[in-house]
Amino acid sequence: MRWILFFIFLLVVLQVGALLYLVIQKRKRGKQEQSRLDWQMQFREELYAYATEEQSEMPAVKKGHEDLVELELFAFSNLTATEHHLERIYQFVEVSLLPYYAKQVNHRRIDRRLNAYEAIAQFRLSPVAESLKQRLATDISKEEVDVIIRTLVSISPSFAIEAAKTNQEISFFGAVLAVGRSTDLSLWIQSFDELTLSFQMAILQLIHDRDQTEYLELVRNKTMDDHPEVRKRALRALTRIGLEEDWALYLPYLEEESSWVEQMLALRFLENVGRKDNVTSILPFVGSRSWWVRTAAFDALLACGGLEQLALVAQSHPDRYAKQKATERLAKEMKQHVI
Amino acid sequence: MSSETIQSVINVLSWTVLIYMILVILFYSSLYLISAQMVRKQRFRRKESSYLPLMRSLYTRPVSILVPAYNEEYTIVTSVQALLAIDYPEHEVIVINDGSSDGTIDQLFKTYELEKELRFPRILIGSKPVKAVYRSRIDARLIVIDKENGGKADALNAGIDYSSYPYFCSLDADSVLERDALLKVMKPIVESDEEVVATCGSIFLVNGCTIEGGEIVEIRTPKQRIVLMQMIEYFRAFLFGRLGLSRFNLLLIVSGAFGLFQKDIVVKAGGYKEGLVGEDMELVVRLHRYMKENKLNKRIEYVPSPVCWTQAPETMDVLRSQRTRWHRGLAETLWTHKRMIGNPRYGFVGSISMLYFFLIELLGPIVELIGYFIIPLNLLVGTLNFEFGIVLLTVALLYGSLLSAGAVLLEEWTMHRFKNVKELIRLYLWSLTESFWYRPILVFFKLGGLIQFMTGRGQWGKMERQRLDEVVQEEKTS
Repeated sequence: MRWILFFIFLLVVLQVGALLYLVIQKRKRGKQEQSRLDWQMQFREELYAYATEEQSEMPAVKKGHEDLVELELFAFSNLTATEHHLERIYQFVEVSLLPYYAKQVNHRRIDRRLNAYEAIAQFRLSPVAESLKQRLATDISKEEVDVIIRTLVSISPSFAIEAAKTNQEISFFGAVLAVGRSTDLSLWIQSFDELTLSFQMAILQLIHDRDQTEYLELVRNKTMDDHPEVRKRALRALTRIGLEEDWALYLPYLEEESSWVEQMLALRFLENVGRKDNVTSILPFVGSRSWWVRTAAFDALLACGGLEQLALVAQSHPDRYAKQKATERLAKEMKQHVI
Repeated sequence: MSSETIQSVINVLSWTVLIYMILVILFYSSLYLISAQMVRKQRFRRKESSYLPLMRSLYTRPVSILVPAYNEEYTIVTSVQALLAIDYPEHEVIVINDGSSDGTIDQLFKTYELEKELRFPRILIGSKPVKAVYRSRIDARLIVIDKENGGKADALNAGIDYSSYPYFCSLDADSVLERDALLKVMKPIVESDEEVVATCGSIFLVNGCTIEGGEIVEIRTPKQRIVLMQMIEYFRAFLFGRLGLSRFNLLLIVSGAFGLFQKDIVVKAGGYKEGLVGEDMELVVRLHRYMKENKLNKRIEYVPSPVCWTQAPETMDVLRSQRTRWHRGLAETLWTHKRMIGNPRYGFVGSISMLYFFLIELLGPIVELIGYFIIPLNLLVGTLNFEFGIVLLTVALLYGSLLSAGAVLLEEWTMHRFKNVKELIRLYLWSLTESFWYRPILVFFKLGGLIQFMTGRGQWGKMERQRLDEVVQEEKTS
């Protein structure tokens, strides 16, 4: 009986305590909000004046208001700042906020640490690179590893590449976001074979996205890689670049019963090249079970000037869907011609 | 019947109620602690930075938003307007007019200048015949499928067949999605390299809020107590129920009102099952089953911050019909997949999640009902000390209230959407009353659902819709 009464007492205390906490927190936040807002406005003006060299003196950072400073810095550098303004902002952050961020990267709360890493990357605070490298060696979550590597790419690419050689945890998307911060991929390319799979895929993906022909040799080699994901991404990059001489690299994927991705890429390659004598290679794919393959086949057919063949498909193809799709594409083509 | 037999029956029932109470307290407390820890970890995280890279990224997957609509003439335009305005790199909105008898399609014609489109889908799942497909002349991302009435599951299946993108998001026609909600639910999918195959966000109640141009501009607590209690219930269900379950891939419900799915896996699992009222839960259970039986290492996740706003019933009658339907849906789903319940072959989903839904969610109302009678009965027969009975009842009621109050606290921690302290206190104080009146009412509604399931009767029921922008006006005058 006594322990149950104690439990009831505990429940009541918890309820009253929670209510008080809620009210006090809310009131405190409400009271602080106005004065914080006023300070933020004032800081905004000072920051603008400093960044545009209207005033030489750096704005002062009030203790406990670093989050507002961060907000203003992010907004200013993402929306209006020029290269020159950014330089001034980096200078300001290094002088005024370095001790704060050095402390934040070792904060016990993960949310605070993640915020700090992002700010460090944004404001190029390279003096903390060593601390980040050390943190990477500790037992941290996958999300934190992702953000740290991304940050290192911005402030110390060599550290980031070292981490990319051993880190198996990072996702492909994480690797793309990280490597994507480097405008020049040559450092990454030099170490390509030592990097983990996610980073290899990310580099090929970025070569594709940036349409970079200077790494063509590497891309060609990787179309025969043992790993299917690396192979597909190399083929995708090559498809985008679209040099006719590379056609031979795609042939194995058309002849064999290979994956839909490789078949689609081969067809997209033909679409890019756009030669009429490729029409016969395309026709077998208009009735493919894969939506991606047959869509690519129709696009390639039209790009290669296969309008007559398209009409034939619309008239007599054994696959009902291919017939319908060809009719639809034909109608669209005719409409465009009339217009 | 001898007094000894009566005595032993009462004893058995009393023990059942007591064990059930302990079980529930333990389960919910653990769930709450797990959720609170998860919320606490992300409490000070700068909100935008975690998903903004996605918006700018080329790798965000395109999504087809499917909106099944049956007699939604008052809400459909506002919903579509909001959906076309969301922040997302590439999406299409497919409204499936499921044989509405009101002016749903006329409203769309009038506002979006629809024109007929020739479209030949590769039928992946199949549905009732489609009469026509239209595309908007104003915004080409809007497609309207006009089909014969076949129910929500059938409409969603038609939407899947006609959708162009590899991911689809199911959404209720009376809901308003926050601008960044789709980006936020897509984040776990992209970051996990597609290991996550379905995600869902929170669903909160729009009653009492102000909507302008399809966007929520002011959040307030509703005036009606019944809606207020539902609001607290939603906080509890999402902020600690789903968050805690999602942590261990135990989520069995991705609400039909707002869920994002990988199309391929849904098609492989057979799409939405027709003829059930809880088609959303059934699909998720079937996905889990499919993943376990095919040994796929995939996950279903809940993300707390993206919010979809929806209308809640404002009258007891509509609430009864909704809750009866939901409970019938739960019973149907558990019955359909009964072999998973407590079955270790299905991992934690079978041995924890399904068992929890069966014992606590489905049978809970029966035990609770017994509980409401057993203590007075024990006192009457004299088998229970009066003080002990009162104490037991107090524990049950206080604990229930504390959980609801805890959910309000979690809301304040995660989102702090209520700017006014008075509103928050009102919400908190009402949450303390939940166990005394609202929960017993729900117990009776749920029992109705169970009876409907066992007798094979029951229908969908009618939800009275209001224009979304009028909800507030009525709130203010009430």
